[in-house]
Amino acid sequence: MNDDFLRRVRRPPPPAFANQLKERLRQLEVAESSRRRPNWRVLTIPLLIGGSVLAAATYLTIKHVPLLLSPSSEVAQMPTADAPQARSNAGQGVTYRANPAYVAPASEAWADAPSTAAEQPQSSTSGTRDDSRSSASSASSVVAGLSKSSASTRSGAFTEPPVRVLLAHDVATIMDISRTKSLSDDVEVTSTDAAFRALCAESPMQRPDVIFASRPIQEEELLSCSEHGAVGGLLVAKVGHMAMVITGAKDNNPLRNPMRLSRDALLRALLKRIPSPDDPAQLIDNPYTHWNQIDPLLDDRRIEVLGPNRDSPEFVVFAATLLEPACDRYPVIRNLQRKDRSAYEELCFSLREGAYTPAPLDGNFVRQRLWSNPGALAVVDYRFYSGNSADLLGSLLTGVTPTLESIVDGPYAGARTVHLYVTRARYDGARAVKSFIDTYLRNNDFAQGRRLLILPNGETDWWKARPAQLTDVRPGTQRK
Amino acid sequence: MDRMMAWLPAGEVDWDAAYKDQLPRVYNYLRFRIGNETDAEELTSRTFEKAWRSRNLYRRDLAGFSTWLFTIAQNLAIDHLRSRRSHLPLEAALDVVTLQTPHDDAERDSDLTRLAALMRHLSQRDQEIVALKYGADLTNRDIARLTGLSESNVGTLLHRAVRELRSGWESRETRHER
Repeated sequence: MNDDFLRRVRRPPPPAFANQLKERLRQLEVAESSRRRPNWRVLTIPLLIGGSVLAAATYLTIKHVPLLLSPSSEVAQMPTADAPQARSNAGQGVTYRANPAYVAPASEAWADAPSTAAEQPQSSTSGTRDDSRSSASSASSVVAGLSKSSASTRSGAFTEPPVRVLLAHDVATIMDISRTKSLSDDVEVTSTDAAFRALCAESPMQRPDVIFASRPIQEEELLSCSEHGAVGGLLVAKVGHMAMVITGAKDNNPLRNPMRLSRDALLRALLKRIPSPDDPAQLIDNPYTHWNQIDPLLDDRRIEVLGPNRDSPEFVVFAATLLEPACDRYPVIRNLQRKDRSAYEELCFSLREGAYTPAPLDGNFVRQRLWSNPGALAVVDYRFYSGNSADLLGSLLTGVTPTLESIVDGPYAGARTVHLYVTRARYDGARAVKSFIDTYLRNNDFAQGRRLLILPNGETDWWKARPAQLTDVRPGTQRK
Repeated sequence: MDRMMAWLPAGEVDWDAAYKDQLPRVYNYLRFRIGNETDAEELTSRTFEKAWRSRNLYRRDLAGFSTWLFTIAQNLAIDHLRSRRSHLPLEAALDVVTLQTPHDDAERDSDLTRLAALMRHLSQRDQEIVALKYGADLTNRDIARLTGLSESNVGTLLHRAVRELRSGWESRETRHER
């Protein structure tokens, strides 16, 4: 391969640059060595000064107590102590200015090699090399706690970009997006498919740093990541779970076995247009009025389902957990997702009147709506279901019953897990990204008050055994 | 690539030797990648400073030293290039063409400037691979390790990228951004 023209572009580093850099690294080494070896003489002097000041202040205070107690006396001026040049806060760092022309921000998030420490001593550097800086005056700014990744942070000529976060639409609806925004200025909302495409985009610069999705990555998406060089592979953490339950009001006949529905039966009961039973590639107007028309094993009962309002977050969870998985079984519907998302949502999420009736999931839902309509089924979120289980039939969805274990560990069909994805290269190589993720997983309070999301809650032993943590994405092992 | 490490005990890094061996590689990788001498020097400095500060966290069992060092350099390059771009909406970003970077007038006619102009017509992945191959002087195997691609894929991509660059180079024309 004739590539000499490329090899000719290489050149050795300019000697002046190489020597300057070597000197700078040597100064770092010297500065570090002096920090490690405490200079007792230097420490003793401030201690003596501080002790003297304290003694003087105490003496003067005691001496002037009678004057202070007397309402007509003048209060003596207390001498102010000069603050020593070097001081330390408990556990916090102190920022020194090395170059008066450069002001270090209160905290800086630096990209770094594999780093496990949240706090590390770092040098604040200006955009230009300052030969006049000596090792004794070299700046050291200590990062105290998490710093917000912000585009407004500037270091010389370079801007530290914010952590780029993508949220899937449904995740953004049910999570506390403000919590995410408090950690990064660069938060966007998009579809789950677009989020995965961006995560594994060909250009590293077009990839977000972190995405939150309501489904695991699919095999073909994972392959795209490999082809486009997601360095070191992908990491994933389960940060929350959402679940909906199909149920009904408990009736007075304990011997009757409630019918069990599949997600497909629910789809065929509720959608305005459905895949034809004779040719699934064709869509027809929904002809069904009774459950046993969909499946002879189901009850001979009029189709009536109560559920969340179309504009509510509960409906978002309903769509994600029950409707969308059912729709995606049919290529004629699934293929619309990429071509025309609006048409897809219109087809899959617009439920026909009469069969589906929106009803708010409030305290009156069971006793007023369900009890007055004993033939109706209800679609409720898991928290509502578990809180009202005494009045409800139980789950009518085929498969395992919904419990915390079956929702979190995967078998329950009406659940979805919110996943956080990041490439290993960015997690290991960009300190700001690692800080963002570690804080998110550690604090775990991003859905305070958002009852729809079941969070890994470290307060109970059950959850303590299942902390949210990053693991490698392995092909063929994704669960919902 | 890590031949100098072969005789060292696990976990020990001869920083003088590392500096001497890796500086030209990192420097030229960043020259090829950024296309600007001044910025390349600055990012080279930052790479070594960060490596020095993080040296206690380097684990030889996880990655070769130069792999670790180039991971630092890659992340700095990505952050630098991203911070120079205008922020675009997501859908536009997926189809965006790399914006032209400002030129130093003194380098206008230099080979680096000429190469940088040609490189912009390659995909970001191909730019990265070319920079690692001809700037950092890495083998295809090392490049595969750094990028997560297969070694054969690296070879194929390099072949195509070099062919395209040579075509532009020999025509002595610099194409402009759309």
